Amino acid sequence: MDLLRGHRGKISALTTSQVIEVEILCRYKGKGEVDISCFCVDSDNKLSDDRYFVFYNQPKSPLGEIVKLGAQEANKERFRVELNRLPEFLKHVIFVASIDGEGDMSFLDSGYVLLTANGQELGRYVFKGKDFRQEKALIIIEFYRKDEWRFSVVGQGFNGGLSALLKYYGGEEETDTSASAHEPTPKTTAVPVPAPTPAPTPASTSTATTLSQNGQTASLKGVAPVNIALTYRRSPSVPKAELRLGCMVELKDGQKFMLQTLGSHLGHKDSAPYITAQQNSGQFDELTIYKPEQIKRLLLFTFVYLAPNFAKDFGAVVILKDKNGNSVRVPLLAPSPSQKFCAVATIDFDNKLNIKREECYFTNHQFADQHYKFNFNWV
Amino acid sequence: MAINLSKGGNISLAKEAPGLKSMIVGLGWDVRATDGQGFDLDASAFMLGANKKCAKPEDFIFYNNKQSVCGSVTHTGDNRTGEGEGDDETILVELDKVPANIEQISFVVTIHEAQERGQNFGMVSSAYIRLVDKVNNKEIARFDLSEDASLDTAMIFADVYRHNGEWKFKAVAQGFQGGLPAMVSHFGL
Repeated sequence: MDLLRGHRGKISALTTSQVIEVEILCRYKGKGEVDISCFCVDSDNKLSDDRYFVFYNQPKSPLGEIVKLGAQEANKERFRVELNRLPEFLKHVIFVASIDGEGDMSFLDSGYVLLTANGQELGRYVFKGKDFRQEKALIIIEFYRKDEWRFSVVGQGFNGGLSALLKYYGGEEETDTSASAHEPTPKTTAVPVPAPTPAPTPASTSTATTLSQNGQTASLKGVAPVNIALTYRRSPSVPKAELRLGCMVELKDGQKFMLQTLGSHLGHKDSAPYITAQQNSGQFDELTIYKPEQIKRLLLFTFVYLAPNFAKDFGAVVILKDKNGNSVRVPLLAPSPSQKFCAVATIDFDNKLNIKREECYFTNHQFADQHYKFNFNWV
Repeated sequence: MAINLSKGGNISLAKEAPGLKSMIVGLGWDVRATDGQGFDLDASAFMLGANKKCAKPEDFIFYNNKQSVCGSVTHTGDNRTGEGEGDDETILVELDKVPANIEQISFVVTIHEAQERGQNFGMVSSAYIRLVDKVNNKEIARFDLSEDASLDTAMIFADVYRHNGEWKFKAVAQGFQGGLPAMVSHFGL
């Protein structure tokens, strides 16, 4: 079947199979290459789980529901998607093409997306450079749930390239500006992709890093104040549940404090611990660190209030941001269904704040304290 | 209960809204999130005589002629981008004020300059057209343009017509080639 831009329909009208292969080719006449990737977003159209971003650095999703089948030639990718195995909270599977180099999609000679199942062609959408103007990144096609899995031939894009596209889906592009942010780096899995030609953003050289694997680290130069924000969604499965943010901290002079966005342990700005906790309206709690240099070590945590355990669809993310706008993002990717306390990250200071992802779950504050050995006096 | 109209459906829904007195046709869609020319959808109404044609241009209610001479049909204004929540364009019809020579009113939705801009309903997010009983605010019928008319650029959505002294409603949901200009000549103007 010939597919046209704007075409929508049910997958079940094309095949009884739930395993679809998607082949995308972009013949590019400009300088550079076209990168093709695939990612999933949730019901808010947000990229809440980086593990479902499949591209050359991360060739499959956690359980192999989406697998990149290996590039056969430049500007071409093939993916296999097992729709029936994708987690329920992921509502869209989106296939994108972006230019790594100069020019825009009007420089395409031609391209196509080919859908097959069990070796049978289901549909083909052919596009040409004249279908586009200044887009540097395109959404080619998407699969989405609406009662059942459907497809939409999108063929629309963003002049701002992949970073604009990812921003629309609530993601950030990792930029490798400060060659050092990562340790002898294993492989980095942040909302991925290489930095394309730097967009002419005025004077903004801030970095954005996502820590998506436990043990992964990143640094902030520590220009105070450093803001730490928690965002999450209310969960229909536990409608009353709220998430709160807090930290256990040991200062260089040996004093220890625990503060959180609940009750009276809200900290102080002008005296030790030089950290404050603020509970703002809505799902948006914050901590502010005014004197990072006073910190010996700190455990950043979140816990469930008004419910016994985490819900899998909170989509919680903790974002640390220094005064210059550099940020480190820690999404909680594997919420424990039986526990209510999550150690999010540990932080220490040596001329910069070093953040290490933990995402480790505990029954309560006290058990976490035993593990991290702050040795508070629990009554 | 609102009935979700499938394409080409042609069902009498008199039971859904017995004694319909006044109604609203609502058209909604999302602002374009990607770059490129915006999506400008238009709702219009044709007031037809017994021969199913418009007798005069004044009986064609659209963004440039927002109210019928009799005052029974009112277009509440052109939305060119889809900005805003809920219905982005509405047409109000006071059925008891419709002149006796009008036997039927047909409601249409079109994409402005669809061909020039290379657009269709499937490229637009969350585009729908619906009919609401104004008296009790109940939705009588809804058609999902994005999903169920993805390759169309214009559609005759529904007719209301006189039958044995009362107004009845018929879902049409028929795709149409050529946009609003072709619609206008189809209805005899």
